[in-house]
Amino acid sequence: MDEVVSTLRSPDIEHHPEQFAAVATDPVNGAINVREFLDGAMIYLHGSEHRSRRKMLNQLVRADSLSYIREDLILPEVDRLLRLRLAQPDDDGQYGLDLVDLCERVFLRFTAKLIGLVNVDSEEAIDALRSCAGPLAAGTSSAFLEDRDLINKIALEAKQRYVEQFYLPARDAYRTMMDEVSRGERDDADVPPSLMKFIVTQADPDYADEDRAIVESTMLFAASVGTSTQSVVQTVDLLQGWFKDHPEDVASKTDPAFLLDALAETIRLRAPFSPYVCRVAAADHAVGDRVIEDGQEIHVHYVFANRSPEVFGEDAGAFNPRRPSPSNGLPRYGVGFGVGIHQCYGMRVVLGNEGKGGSHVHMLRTLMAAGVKPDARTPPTDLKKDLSKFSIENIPRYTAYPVVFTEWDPASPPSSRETLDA
Amino acid sequence: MPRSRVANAADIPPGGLRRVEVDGQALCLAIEDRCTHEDVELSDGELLGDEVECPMHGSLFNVITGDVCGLPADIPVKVFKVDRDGDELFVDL
Repeated sequence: MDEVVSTLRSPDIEHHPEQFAAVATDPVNGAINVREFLDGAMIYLHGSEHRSRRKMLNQLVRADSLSYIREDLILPEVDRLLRLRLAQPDDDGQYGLDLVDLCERVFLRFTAKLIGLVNVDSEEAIDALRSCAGPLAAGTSSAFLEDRDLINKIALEAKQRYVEQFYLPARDAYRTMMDEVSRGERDDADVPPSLMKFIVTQADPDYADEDRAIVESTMLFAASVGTSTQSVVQTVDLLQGWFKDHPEDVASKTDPAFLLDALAETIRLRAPFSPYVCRVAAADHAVGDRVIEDGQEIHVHYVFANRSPEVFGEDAGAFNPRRPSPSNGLPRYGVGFGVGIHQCYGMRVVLGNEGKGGSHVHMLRTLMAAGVKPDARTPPTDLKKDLSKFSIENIPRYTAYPVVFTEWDPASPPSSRETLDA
Repeated sequence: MPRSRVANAADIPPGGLRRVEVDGQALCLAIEDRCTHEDVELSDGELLGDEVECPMHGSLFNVITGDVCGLPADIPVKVFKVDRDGDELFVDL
């Protein structure tokens, strides 16, 4: 593990979009993926360019922003959508909805604010944005999916809609606001902090190339909406099996410490989405008594590392929210947020600034308080992947996950605010 | 514990960070200049009140106590006693 960490920390080891997009094996689709969905995003920068970009973007997920994200964006939207969607029981007397749909809408609101999109408050706007977000995320990672031609075609159409309906109006709105700032008609502090503010002010010189700035924004649909949705849905999914085998833990289903450990287990077992992390050596790099030669590709299988019995115990391949913390100092989620230079930008949104539970834990708590269960009448569906690239197991990426709420009372629904204060 | 002169106070702007090296030890006055999370120079980060934000992954450390104030780091940084004598700053290593 030490060798992997030192390798991924090395400035000699770079992250190239061409490798992630598998250009060598599919030049046509690979070139589309690189040009339209990958090149220009922070995760493919190196050295000082990466550090200055990351340092700049870190401002958007500082502690005060995390409170706003959790308490003013995500949790109120969870409450609002639950009340809206569960106002009436269905024909079977059940209160149900699609958990993927719910989570995507919640995290889309958050991501829209993070990017700085405007006019996204209506249901219609979120519907339109959601119709773009899924295809954009799929376009980002189509190298790992079945029917790449079709995925890329749909993703390109979605990107065009996104740029016309969302990106350009937001850019123009921010340009107007910053023009007002420059004329002394508006205080800079009144312009909402967002990726778009950085883009319009060219806080990073690379944003002068608008195509690359657009890619930075579309990457967030995979990196923020997709991963957040999957982490919540998969925790609900994995907890059902755990409660079946461990009924004594049902009493802990709204305990934030228990849910945080459950979420960490989900991230350990089911993140990241890609089966392995790609890197390229930009210079000879010594690893112990071996050398990774300049130009050599590296595939780091986080999935293997996160199932190491030596680190996580004999049942490392199983979901166990009661698992003791690893004795080697690794966190419970293992390397699920990444290792070395490139690590998940939204980690503190998920875990909280102090690691005691962020938005996702409170969201899970609200869902659990309402008695969320998989809907036995309708099985979940997941994205069809190119399984030849997945070495251990098919980690599902749910596209629909119908649930029912067995403790939902529309006259007295649970409130995220109450769970936050409890 | 050796005491070393590291800088003039006037060389450090209010609210700024300063990297110095003493006997091969990198300091970001007056904590170790190394994020305990991923070995990144904290002196390249942002000073936010009493906290320094790592420029790479955003870990936060209290520059007085060395305590972790924000993920992803979970190990405090070393702190060093700083003395001022006139315009000169000294650190006890």
